[in-house]
Amino acid sequence: MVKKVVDISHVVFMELIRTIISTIGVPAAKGSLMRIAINAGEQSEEVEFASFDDFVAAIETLENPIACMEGKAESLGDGLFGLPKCPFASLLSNYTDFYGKAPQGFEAIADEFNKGNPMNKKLRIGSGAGVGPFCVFHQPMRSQAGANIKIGGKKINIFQLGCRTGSGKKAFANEFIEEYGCQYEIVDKALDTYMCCYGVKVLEE
Amino acid sequence: MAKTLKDALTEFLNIDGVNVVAVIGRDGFVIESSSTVKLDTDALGAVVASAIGSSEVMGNNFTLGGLTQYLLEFDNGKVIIAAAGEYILTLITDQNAVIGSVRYAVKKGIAGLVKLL
Repeated sequence: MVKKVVDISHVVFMELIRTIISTIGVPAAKGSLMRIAINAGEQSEEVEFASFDDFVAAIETLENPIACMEGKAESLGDGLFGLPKCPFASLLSNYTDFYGKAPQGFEAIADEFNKGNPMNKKLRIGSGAGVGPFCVFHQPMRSQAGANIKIGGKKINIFQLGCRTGSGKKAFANEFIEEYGCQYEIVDKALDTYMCCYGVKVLEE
Repeated sequence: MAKTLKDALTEFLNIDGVNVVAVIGRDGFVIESSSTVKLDTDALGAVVASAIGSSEVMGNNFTLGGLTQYLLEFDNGKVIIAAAGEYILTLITDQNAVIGSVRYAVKKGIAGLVKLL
């Protein structure tokens, strides 16, 4: 039987995460992944855009640091964005193709990520909007990268509103949907089409 | 005036030899800390969470029950790590600290600390 061609770096990465979880436990593993992501986000380029339209236009030209990191999101209006493809989608499929089964223990780390805690509140991540282990990395990295961006001379906050798995399971951060000021139904509808939905708000100083 | 978490932690610094005290989440993010020396709280939180996490994995694997306290002795000081409900209390001392006194103070103070969390 010929197995499918896989990217071995993806398989190794997934095994590293699984090993971290099994050796230091779910909470510490979650924290470790978040810290890696936050540190990575801090390294993203500091950029100033003259206007929100310029921020959006820079996504298409990949001059927007967020787009450089996760791919091109689509502007949905009212500061909302939908990401058509999860940048981590191929990792899971490569692992499953190689081992013939899904990795064990990854649901637990997503559940841990969704618990309320001060860091989630500060970065406006998780809190229900995590669907898998890669959300634990992706969401903090995006939020932290947002700290290096200014629009019209003002800082921004990125709100993780919802996420969807490849199999269609949706997850929502109700507290951030409320804080952001949009409707749950809009995020729900966005997730019919997109894997990830987040909001970008310019802070009034 | 009600005691704050910071106040409660600072009281531990009155124990001879205790230089650092911190409350850390199980994920390694520091909730509050107090110290008499310069401290990288991010690094402290990360390593303490990993230490507690791996110890609890060991306890589970050997069916020893939950972790209550953890003592590390180094050439130049000691680290005491104690479970505080969903959080972790950590103290770092110099090499002259009397460990029995520190551990007693931890045991006595933990319940009050958990109420403030």
